[in-house]
Amino acid sequence: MEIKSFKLKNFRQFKNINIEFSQDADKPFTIITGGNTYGKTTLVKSFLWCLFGIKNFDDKILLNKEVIDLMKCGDEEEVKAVLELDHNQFSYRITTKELYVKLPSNEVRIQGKAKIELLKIGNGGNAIPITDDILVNDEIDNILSRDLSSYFFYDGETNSIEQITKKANLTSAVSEIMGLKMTETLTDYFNPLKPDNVIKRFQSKLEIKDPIESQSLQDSLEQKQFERENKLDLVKTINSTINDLEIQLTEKERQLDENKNILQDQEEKKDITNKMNKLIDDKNSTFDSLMSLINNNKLLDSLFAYSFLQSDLQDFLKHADFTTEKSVSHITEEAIDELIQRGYCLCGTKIETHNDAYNHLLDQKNYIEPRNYGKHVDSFVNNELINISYCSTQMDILSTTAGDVLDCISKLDDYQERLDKIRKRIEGKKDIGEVQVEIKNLEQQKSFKEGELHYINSSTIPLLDSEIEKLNDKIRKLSSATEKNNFIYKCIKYSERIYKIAERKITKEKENIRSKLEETVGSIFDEMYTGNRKIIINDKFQVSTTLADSSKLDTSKGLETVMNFSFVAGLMKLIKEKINSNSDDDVFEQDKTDDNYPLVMDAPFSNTDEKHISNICLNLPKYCNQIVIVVMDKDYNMASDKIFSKIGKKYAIKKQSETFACIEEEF
Amino acid sequence: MFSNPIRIYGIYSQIAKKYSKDNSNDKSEDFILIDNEGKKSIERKIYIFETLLDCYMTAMMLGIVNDKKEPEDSDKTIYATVFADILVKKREQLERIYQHMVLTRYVDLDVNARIKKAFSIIKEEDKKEELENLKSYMRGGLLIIDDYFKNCATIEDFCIKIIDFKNDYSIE
Repeated sequence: MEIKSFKLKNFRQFKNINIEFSQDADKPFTIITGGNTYGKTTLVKSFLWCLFGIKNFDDKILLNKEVIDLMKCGDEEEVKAVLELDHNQFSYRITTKELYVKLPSNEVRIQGKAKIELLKIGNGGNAIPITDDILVNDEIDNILSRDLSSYFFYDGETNSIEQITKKANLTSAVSEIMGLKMTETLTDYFNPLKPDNVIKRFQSKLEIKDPIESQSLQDSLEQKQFERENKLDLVKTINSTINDLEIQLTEKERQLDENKNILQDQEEKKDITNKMNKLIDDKNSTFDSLMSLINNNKLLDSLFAYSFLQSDLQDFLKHADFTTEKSVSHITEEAIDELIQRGYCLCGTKIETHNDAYNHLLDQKNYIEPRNYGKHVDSFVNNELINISYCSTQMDILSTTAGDVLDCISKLDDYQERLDKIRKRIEGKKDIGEVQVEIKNLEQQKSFKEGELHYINSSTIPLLDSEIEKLNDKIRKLSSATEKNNFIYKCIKYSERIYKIAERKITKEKENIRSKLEETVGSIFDEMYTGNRKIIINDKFQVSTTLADSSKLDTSKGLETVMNFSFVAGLMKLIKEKINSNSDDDVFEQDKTDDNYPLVMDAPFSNTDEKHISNICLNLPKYCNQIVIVVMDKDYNMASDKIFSKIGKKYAIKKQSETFACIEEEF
Repeated sequence: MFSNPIRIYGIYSQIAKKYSKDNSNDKSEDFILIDNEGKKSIERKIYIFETLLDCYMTAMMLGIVNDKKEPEDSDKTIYATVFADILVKKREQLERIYQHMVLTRYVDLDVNARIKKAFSIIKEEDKKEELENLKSYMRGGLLIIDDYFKNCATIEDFCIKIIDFKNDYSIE
């Protein structure tokens, strides 16, 4: 298949473009450059719409918005794509159209579905138009099957180069590309476990003693075989799921490995946050204690003490004339005079002028206010001394408590500083705790699926096999030993033998292909990759790399791109070699396929470094006659020096507005 | 001397209310400090003194130990009052403050005269003058309190000032 030209009319932002692809084997590159949102992905996706009617857009209205705006109610406009290509000595023009009508609500509606028409032109110039949908699909399938299209058209979103080798099971696709598909299909006719197989047909021709019983057994047999088929399909599905889970696990484990430091940081962050929360509680509690001390007038008490000591009052008061031993406080001269005048004391003693009581009372006047304040002074000094002693402790507690609050604040600042540093380090990075949880979930799912698989393989299917065998046995016993039956049994035996040989052949062929593919992809990889790795392809045709000394290592994205390009190039090389090979001892004739397919890619280098881009671009033309790359200028610039001499055509997408872009050829 | 309300005016009343848990309705400035809890900052309203009277008494002693007297503020529009029923509850403390004032600051009197003045019942004619002396010292003390805490923005500043206070009036 070699694409010649591609036209778009009113297709999204492309109102009217025409691209002619390089068909020069020495200059296989057609480069189309464009900036972000210029329509590069749209362009690649439009190929698939043209070939298969596949609409990989969120907005299913393909009609150009400016055209829509100009339409009046009832007006019709079409979206059209025309692809011209050569395949197997024929030229084809594939035209896909979709009609739109404007509604009174100002919206547009698609009239029916996209219509694909084909014009097949032979060497003599005779053109055969094909309009029937089924015939069109068959012709296009012969050129390039829909299932295989994803190996040659990469739109960068739904199908990117990065994803090619992550596809669950490439076995079927590789079989198709390598021409084994038809052989496999034929082999299935002899598979005794398939619903409508040759052996079953032979069995239906047997002469049976008890036809009714035999029919009942046949029905049961069919039922069991159907169940077994379903189980086998289920096994494939589960294997596919397990594979997907393994891929996800590998990726998560890679993330975990790459971000070990982040895990440590996250744990430290958690630890510091907990400590800070506790410290804040301590600080608040300590501060409350401090305020409690202050509110209870400890400051005032300390000032009393300070005043007493500052003025050295104790010593000062000693110089007073007031004595304290005989001093009596809180009794006045007037009170004593009143007692004398009354004539008897508080204790009842008679007071008469110049008696003992009278003389004693007169003498006591010398030890009371206002002549003597001894007791007052004594009491004052004692109280202040007690206060000083108490205060000293209290003020120490006050000071220590205030200091504790300051310590808490200082520690909080330190923690905050550490926390800020950690936050800066892990900013924008995935939460590794979440990754660990995801890994655990994936492992659980995988374990569950493996358990399910094991049960089906070790119990369900063997049980069904046993039941099928028993039923076959019963059926055989019901058939009488006639000449016809003997002949039929011989045919059945031959069919079984044919099936076994074919199965073995196909398995061997697949292993050959796998091995050859591994070798081919490996050697191409060595040309493209600058490093010490080698390619491994498993029995599902999935690609991985390992260090050249066979210890496995996780792949980085740039490496994946090189790996994937190598795989595609390897496939292409094998296809060519297969067609050109001359294998006379093959029992089965291989299917014929075209040996050329174009490679159409959107942004294939977004995750690759300059050196590898250069290597890929230098080596790809060896295996692919046509390479169409839709790329941003910066990525193109990285390889342009190396591939300039191999560029047959170059175009640039010019964005005029959000709804209009055109393509200009650059010379 | 303490049977009548004690009222102060102007700037002194503002200072007293700022640092006291005053329950009056007029809008006086609050003593608010920032508490930094890691990246989070919260504001705390702080009361150094549980009541206005506690503030008065501490201010009086501060004025006395620093021998700092201040005249009355001429602005009579704002004021703070402690009523007699409150004063009577703290009568002993107030008398003690009066005694410290007399014993330490009445330098014109000899020891016996000071003792007599400090511990005898105040004559009616002397009450007004003695109360004025106390209030004078109180105003001085209020300015000292404000000097300590007016520039405090955070809890940290406040704690540092408390430690400074303790050191400034250390009894060791």
